[in-house]
Amino acid sequence: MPARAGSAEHAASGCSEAARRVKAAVLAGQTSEARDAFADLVGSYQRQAMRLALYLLRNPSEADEAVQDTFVKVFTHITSYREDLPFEAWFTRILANTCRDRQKAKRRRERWETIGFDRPDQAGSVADRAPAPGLSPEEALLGDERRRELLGAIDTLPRRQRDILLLCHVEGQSPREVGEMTGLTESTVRVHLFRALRKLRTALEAGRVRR
Amino acid sequence: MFAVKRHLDDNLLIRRYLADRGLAALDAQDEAPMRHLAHCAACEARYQTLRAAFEDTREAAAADADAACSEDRLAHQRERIMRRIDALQSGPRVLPFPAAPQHGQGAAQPRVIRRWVAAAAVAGLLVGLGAGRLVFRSGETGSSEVTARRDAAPTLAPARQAPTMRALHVETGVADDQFLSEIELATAAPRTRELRAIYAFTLEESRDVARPVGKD
Repeated sequence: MPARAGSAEHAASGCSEAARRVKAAVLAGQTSEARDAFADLVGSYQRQAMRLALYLLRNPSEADEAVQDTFVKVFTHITSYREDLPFEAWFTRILANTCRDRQKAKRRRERWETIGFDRPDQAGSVADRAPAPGLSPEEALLGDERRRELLGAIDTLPRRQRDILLLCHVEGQSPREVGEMTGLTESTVRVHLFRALRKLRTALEAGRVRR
Repeated sequence: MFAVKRHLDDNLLIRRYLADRGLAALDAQDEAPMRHLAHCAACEARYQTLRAAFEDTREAAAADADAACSEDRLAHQRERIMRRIDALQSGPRVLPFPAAPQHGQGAAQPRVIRRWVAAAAVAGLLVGLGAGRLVFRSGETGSSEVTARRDAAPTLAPARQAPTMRALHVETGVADDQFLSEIELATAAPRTRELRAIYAFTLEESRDVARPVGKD
């Protein structure tokens, strides 16, 4: 976790610098320089953006689209980026709004769709993936089983608690950052996080008892 | 003392976990329970179990996300993003309509047809003007013959001419008697040769017939 947080901080500072370069090039009308600087920005922040979108949308295809849309929005509105603020906060806010719009659109779509089709977010789950190298098939099977249980326990949480748990607990974002992303206050995020962990604990206990 | 009396509940263990992760801060009232945790092996064991479960969950979720962020997927995504950025920079493109003929022979043919149509219209106009002029001249000669014949004819015409407004207007200076007699003459006399027979059968006949009857 500290390694993840450290690399995230490094990436964040690099992103801010790249964003400044993109903005300067766009303002100067240097399109090829702006494009190159933006390619650097995409390369350095893409993975983190994809993970955040995955946590919020729980669907790789939707997350992929959301990340693309977010980067295009960022490029389009790069001149309104305030250089005194970290790029990460600005970016994640745009990403969170894009994900929220997609969730709303998806809910509207699902109202009209027939119930019973395979949900796309369940396709390609951990059980379908190839076992990790260096593990025996039995170990891989048990590991996948355990992982599925853990992810199943996360899925039992209400949506908001689940999002906050994934962003804070898994991704290592601070409650303040998550509050900025989700539009909640920092203390509300802390309360949701605490409740999420308590429910997760109950769900994990229940799973252990069933076994 | 708290440390001796009872063990910690799950809420306190979770708060401790969040504090360890830097996601929450412990306040003054948590000091005693945390001291208990430091001295109670059972609570410490429970805390370690809870911590391990949470860490396993975190790792499972992170692995799940990492599996979805494969290098291949990220490379495709990057490519699509940059393609969209390029499209933004190059501005909107006008796509040719598929059914529209391309420039070349297909486009030249209608232009040639249009030219021929224009040339035919001009030629038709000229021919029409020429023919019109010829017809007009022949008409002029015909009318001159008619006027000559009219001049040569006996002067019966004035009495048989239909009175027109223009004629009435011109003859304002004529005496009233003459004017009235002209009107009478005009109304009494048939204006066209074709109608004379009918006139004779109707007005003249009726007048002739009526007269004896009336006189009788």
